[in-house]
Amino acid sequence: VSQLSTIREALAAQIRAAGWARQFTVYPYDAGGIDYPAVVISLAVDDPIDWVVSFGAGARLGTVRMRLRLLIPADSSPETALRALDDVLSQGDAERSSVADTIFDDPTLGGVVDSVTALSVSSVGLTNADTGEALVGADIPLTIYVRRT
Amino acid sequence: MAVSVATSTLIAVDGLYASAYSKSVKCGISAPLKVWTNHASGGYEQWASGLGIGVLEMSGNQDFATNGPLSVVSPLTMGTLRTFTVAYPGLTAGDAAVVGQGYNFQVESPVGGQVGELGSFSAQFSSSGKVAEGKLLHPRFARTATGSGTAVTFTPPTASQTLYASFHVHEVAGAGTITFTVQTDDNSGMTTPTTRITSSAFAAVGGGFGSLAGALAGETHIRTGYTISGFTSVTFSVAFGVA
Repeated sequence: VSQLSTIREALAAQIRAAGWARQFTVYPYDAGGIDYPAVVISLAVDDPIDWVVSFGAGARLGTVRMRLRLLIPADSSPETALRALDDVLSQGDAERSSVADTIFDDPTLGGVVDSVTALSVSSVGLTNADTGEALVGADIPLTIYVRRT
Repeated sequence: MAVSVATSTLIAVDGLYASAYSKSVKCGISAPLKVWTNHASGGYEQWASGLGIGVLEMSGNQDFATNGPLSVVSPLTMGTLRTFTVAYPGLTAGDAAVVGQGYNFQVESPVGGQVGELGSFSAQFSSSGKVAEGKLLHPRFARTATGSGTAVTFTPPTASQTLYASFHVHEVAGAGTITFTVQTDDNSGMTTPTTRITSSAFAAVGGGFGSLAGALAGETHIRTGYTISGFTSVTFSVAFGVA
């Protein structure tokens, strides 16, 4: 399966099923009207898709790069928001309370893709919502290997 | 002139459909030059072509599936004579192809790679005998019943040349056999075909090679035939070359 919408939905479902995400609203599309705290899935800004990475016309492997954006309200207490962000960016928690654990728990997203890798976190810091609300956020780049079927 | 970008190439090594895993392939033929300069060479070196050798190099993404790269690219199976075909783009009968047989003499560790990158493989095969240039007779495609491929034009071998054919059975369903033929004729309708090469009967995934030495004067078209017995489906590819 390599439908982008299917990948987004599978990724969103896997995050929603994780314990840490109970407080978050997960959005497979960044379409505005976001309730925070939120996890927003979008395609990477630069080079989001490689359609062809092997010669096999009938079993072609492709690469999709997506971005998870974590956004936590920080108006009332920036430190509380930063601590909450620390929690979900940690890894190795036995209670599977982190983004990394959620991704690596099933890197096939239930068999939808060949593999998802989340190797790093980028752009951690304070930001503002369109409404002016203060947020702390982090971006997690994902590389997703898919096979055309 | 028109340029072409390689987004599809059929790469088959025995039963391995390597295209699904490869992102780089090179099929080169070379012959070392031998100097035979003597005192009558007029002040210049003189050279003769040495023995030719073909090398198939490919690299790509490792996959530990049953019929993945490990099935033919493994330290455990080095020294096995393999049939290989490279056809570009390899989607239609008549596409340019190179066929040969060779031994795997270099393989990257099947479990190598770097963190965060795809597991990779690479392998090199050295030809044994000629590597022949020709055309694809049947792209990788599943068939469920006996039949014949599309006839394509060809330049028949001369008296000093040989017709070669490569057969690759990539997938089978059920139990049975498939046997291939290579037929030629003097017309595109293949109204009076003559069978020139017959493969062994394949009962499983694998590859084979056949040849016929000598001239086929007057022949203008060539195709493959396939006889399926028992199998409910067979996915295969066939190519020929003349050298």
